[in-house]
Amino acid sequence: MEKRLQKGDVSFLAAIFLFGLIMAARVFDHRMEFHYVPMGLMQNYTFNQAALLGLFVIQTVFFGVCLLQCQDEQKKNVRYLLAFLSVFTFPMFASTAYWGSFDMYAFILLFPTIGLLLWGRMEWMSIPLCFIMICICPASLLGNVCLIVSVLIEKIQLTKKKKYAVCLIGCIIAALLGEAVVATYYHFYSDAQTAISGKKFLAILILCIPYYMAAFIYFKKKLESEGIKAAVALLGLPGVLIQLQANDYGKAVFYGFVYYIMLAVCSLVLGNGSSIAAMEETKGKVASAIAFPVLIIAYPLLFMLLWIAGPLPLFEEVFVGL
Amino acid sequence: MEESKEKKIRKIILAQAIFGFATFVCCYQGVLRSYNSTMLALSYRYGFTSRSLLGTIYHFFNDLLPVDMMNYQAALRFGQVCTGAFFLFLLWFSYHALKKCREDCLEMCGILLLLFLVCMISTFSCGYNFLRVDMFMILTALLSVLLLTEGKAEWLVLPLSAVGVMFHQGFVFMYFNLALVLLFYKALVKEKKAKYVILFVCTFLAGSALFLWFELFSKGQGTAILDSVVADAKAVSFEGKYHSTLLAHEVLGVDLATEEWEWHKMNIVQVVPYLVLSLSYLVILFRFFADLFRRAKEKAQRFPYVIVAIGSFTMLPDYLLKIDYGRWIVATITYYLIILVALAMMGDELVTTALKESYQRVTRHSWAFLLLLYPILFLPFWDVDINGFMQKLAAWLNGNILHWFQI
Repeated sequence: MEKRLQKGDVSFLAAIFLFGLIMAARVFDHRMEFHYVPMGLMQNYTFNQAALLGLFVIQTVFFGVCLLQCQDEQKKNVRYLLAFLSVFTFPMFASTAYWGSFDMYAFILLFPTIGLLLWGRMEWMSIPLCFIMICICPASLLGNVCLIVSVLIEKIQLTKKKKYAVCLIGCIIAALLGEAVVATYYHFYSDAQTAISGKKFLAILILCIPYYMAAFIYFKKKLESEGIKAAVALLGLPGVLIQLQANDYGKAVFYGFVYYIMLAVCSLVLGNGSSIAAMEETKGKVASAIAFPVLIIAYPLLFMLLWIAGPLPLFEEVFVGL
Repeated sequence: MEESKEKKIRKIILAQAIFGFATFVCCYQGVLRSYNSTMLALSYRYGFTSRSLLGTIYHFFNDLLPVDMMNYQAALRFGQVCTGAFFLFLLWFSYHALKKCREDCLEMCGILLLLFLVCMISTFSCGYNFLRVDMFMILTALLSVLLLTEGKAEWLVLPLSAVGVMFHQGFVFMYFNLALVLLFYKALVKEKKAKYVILFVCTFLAGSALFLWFELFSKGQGTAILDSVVADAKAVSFEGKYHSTLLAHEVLGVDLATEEWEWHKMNIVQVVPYLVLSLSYLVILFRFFADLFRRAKEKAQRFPYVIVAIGSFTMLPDYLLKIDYGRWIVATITYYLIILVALAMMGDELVTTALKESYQRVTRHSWAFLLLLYPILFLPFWDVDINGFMQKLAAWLNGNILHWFQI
């Protein structure tokens, strides 16, 4: 029987889209920095505005697919995780530093790729989409493509179907082909931005200590039930490391959170039993320690809005005088 | 096993402390703005003048301590100590308030206090309002609330309110309402009505008398003291750049009202979208009071809650005549959050039930938890501009559609 979104899901999607738009409006500055994008059109102001709006719509559709495909018992968890994800993905690419960057276009392609894998239709599209993603954003190999590979590995573990193994190999080959195209026809450019300094990045690392504890509880449970298969989580590290290597600390924080949240969402939507059990245990331990679990989502919203995506202005009048 | 009340309170306080600390780290800019540093130059050594209490305290510490505090770094350090102490006080206030609330509305009161804490920490950490006198006004108002909810040494509300006016005469519009509404409520609802009536009248008269003195009579010596005040202002301000407009108004009594019309227009362009974006909270507040009035079956029972509902109307003169909409909105938010917690602390049955009902009504929705994230988008509050978001939005609306104000 064809699945349908429930009334609660539709109202959640409408609310999160509106919330995301307002988050983006909070940080959007109408200023566009120069980015090393492969097409001149991607440096066009109006085109970038349309692309940003398109990203938000595609993202909301992706959220809809997640809610449609997950089990009813997991809906609440999935909603929380999607809200957690939107705290990063809505404001990030509306901020001056990252609006119009090739990462933005890579995410426009990432959501449909993973969405199709979760939906279980036209999954072969992940191969050409990986290729295009790499052509636009070569650094995606260690970020977004690793996430796609993780989701495919998860699907292989759950369904044991050969087609996903073929898809996995196809995605990796397509990604490597994309790198070859970039190397041949134009150059690898670093699009590193200085949204936050090393000191602020260190402060974020320290402020995120509670998240390491929650992640430890989650992955410890997963290791107990899945053994070495849980090591797929390590695929999130290359995306963070390459941004650190380029001194783009804002993107390092972004990719670190987004990879693991997306992986958790995909695991729950695909009905991975050990992920569900790990999530319930983590939830229980977090709820016993702290009131208002929504603060887990609110916490990174602070440094996204106030540091990475929309820094508070320094008051010129302090220096100019009034 | 059901958690004990004490354990629940500790969890709430831990959440508030961690989140509050993160808010401070993200908002603190290490800057003492010229407006707030210039306030330190005013002092009662020049007479019983308006807004001079903070400066008097500062000069007192300068005279008392073996360090020279008449420099920017010392002023910044003073701000850090005062702000840190204020935030710790807020956490203690929250703990004390939760202990007094009934267990069944603990979560709702915890949310109200969390929203209040985050609003305060973000607003008074950021450069615009770091060491702003509003922080001290809120402190005196909260102390009054504590005394009235405890029912101990309630006569101290009078001198505390006087101190609030001495920090800034705007206290009578912004934060005086907390003490007055609670006194009015107690006079109507509690025993010893005569005591509360007398205390209400005396507190009201004391605050009003001080306000009139500061507004109309305290600026007589302006030109004689200006050079001395300017010298102090230069000493404590960043690179000697003091806020000349503040001194023109406070020391020389220059009326700025005629120069502020463009700012008023800007306020209107900012406040309208702000109200639209805050609609969900306005609806929750409206439905809460509607529920409360419905539960109070008789007119006599309903009247105290009408006063509670309209208590923030003391802000109307500020909204109509002055331009610091960021500060007025902080005062309005503070009023409603604290007054509801105060009534819950006093064990008001109807308020406690209405709070519970509101919480259950809102949390029925699948997106309800977003309402706790949403306020963060509007932090921190500024002064003339409501916040950076509204400033940007109003500038875009004005530049592209309205073409109304010229700032």
